[in-house]
Amino acid sequence: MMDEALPTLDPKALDMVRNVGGDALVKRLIDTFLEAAPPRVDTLVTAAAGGDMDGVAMSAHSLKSMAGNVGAHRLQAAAVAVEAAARSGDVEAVMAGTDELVEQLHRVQRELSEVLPSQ
Amino acid sequence: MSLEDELRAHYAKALPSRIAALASARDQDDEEARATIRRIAHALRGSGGTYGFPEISEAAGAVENADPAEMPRRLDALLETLRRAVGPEERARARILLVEDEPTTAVIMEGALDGPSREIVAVPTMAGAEATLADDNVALVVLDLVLPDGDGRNLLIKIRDRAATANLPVIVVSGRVGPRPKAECFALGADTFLEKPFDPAVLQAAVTAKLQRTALAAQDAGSDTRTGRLNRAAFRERFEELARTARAAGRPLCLALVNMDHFLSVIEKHGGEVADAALVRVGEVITDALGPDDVLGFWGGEEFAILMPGRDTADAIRTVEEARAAVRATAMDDGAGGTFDVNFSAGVAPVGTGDDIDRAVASAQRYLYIAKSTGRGKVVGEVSSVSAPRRTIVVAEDDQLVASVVEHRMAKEGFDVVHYANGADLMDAAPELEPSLVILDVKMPGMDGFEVLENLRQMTSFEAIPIIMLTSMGSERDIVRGFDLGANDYVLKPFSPVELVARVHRLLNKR
Repeated sequence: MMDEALPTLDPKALDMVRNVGGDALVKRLIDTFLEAAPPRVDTLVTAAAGGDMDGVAMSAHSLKSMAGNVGAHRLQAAAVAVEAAARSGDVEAVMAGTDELVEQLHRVQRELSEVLPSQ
Repeated sequence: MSLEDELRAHYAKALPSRIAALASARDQDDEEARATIRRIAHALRGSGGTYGFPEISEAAGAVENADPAEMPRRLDALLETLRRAVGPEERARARILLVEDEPTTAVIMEGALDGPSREIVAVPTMAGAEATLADDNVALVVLDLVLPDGDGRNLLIKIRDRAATANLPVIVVSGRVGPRPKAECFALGADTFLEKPFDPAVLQAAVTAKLQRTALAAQDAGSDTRTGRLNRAAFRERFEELARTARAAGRPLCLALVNMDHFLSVIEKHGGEVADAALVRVGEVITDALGPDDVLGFWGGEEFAILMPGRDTADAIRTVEEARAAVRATAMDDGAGGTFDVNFSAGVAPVGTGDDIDRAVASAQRYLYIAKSTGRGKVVGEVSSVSAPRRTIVVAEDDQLVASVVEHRMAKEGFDVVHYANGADLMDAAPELEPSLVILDVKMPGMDGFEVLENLRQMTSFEAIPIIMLTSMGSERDIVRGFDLGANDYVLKPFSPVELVARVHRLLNKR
């Protein structure tokens, strides 16, 4: 389903952040992402399981923006799809999209921990 | 910041605690306190010069060597010197309010905006933002539109409505939205709109530019920070004053509302800074065209308001038209070596006895709307009462909630609204009514909207009155039936009040 041409991580996003705040800000951003995104996905999965579409949409919206900030285009695309599905009440599409979202989050987590500027 | 400035700033930060210690010791006035004062003064004498404050060293030295009788006076001089050293640094610290619930965006924003002369207050909710705005002196707001406790646009409206924050720079940062919410944000008073994902360097530049202009404009209280004109709050005050004088002297007073034409495309084409500069220029050109008694204010967004004491409507229209011609003839600097043209539409209305500013503005707004909807670039006003549109709207609607929404919106547009809870009541009163427009709900108990429509169209006095039907969604056949029976337009329920207002204006202006 996902566009395989999209990279897991687009370095341009982190470069823009580095421009204004250096490696220190990049590190803070990645730390914040790694801290905040997984629980957000958990919240989303729980909401999806309980059929709470508003909750799913809110979490997906938040993940969309988090993913965009670190240049995780495919995670972002997955979040966009889930948000849209949740807003239109398409439970089936939410479920399918959530699996993709979890998979993408794992990839991003792996790649991000490698990007972290060496201390 | 040079090393020297950095040292000074760093030193100045430590001074408030010294000031507090000295001030409290001064009040004690005993030997122990004097010893404390001498000790602090000694330290200050040594450090002041090193950190670039020779005046502190000098004043501190005078205190250190003072005998008890001289000490209070010399200490006061030192305190004054210290406060002066602290003052500008403290004042220059600009408090930036970040309203953003998503943590990674907040981190990027803080990282991009933090600096020695800045203080960042980040809150994740509208409630938190409102509390901060009420308590603290905020210099700029960066606002996310999607917040856990509501729509950021509501906060924008509140910020613009409150006199204390009416001119506060607001930068809206939001996920990708269509041109409409973006246009809406500008209309609600956003200064800049950034789409997520945003380049933090752009946010940084936008904030710096806004803060610099705020600092400059702050020297001129009561002025709008974008245009240097009277701001809305100050304009309101002038209105009260001039309306009172006009009433007492029995002289006319007119109010004009000036709205730039196609200004959104100026912003999109040339950017916010160039557009702001053009607004400033427009303000200057209008002022030059006005007489010495006329008052120009910045009404917000891309709108100016003008008060013209002593001018009747015809004179006021002529004056604003001259200003318009002058603006039209002025080449605006596009910031890239070229120029562009701007123009405006304006509505002019006389301020009636007992009119408050909201009513006067609503009248001017109606004429502004006519100017906008009939080709723009013109000044429209009520020249004589004969050609004045009548202002009553008759509504038949059994749902009290819908009726009150319609009443509220239409009253805001300057109409008088007469409401009937059913069709029969309206028909009973119809022979006495002279409305400019009728709004009929289709589904009403007893006589329904179609029957009322049919009956009204048979009365000579209602033959040519525009009638709008409120039709329920899903009953499209009713639309056809309404047109067959002589309705001029329809609005589908649930309806947007904005749409209804637009349709009412369209029908009234066609006539």
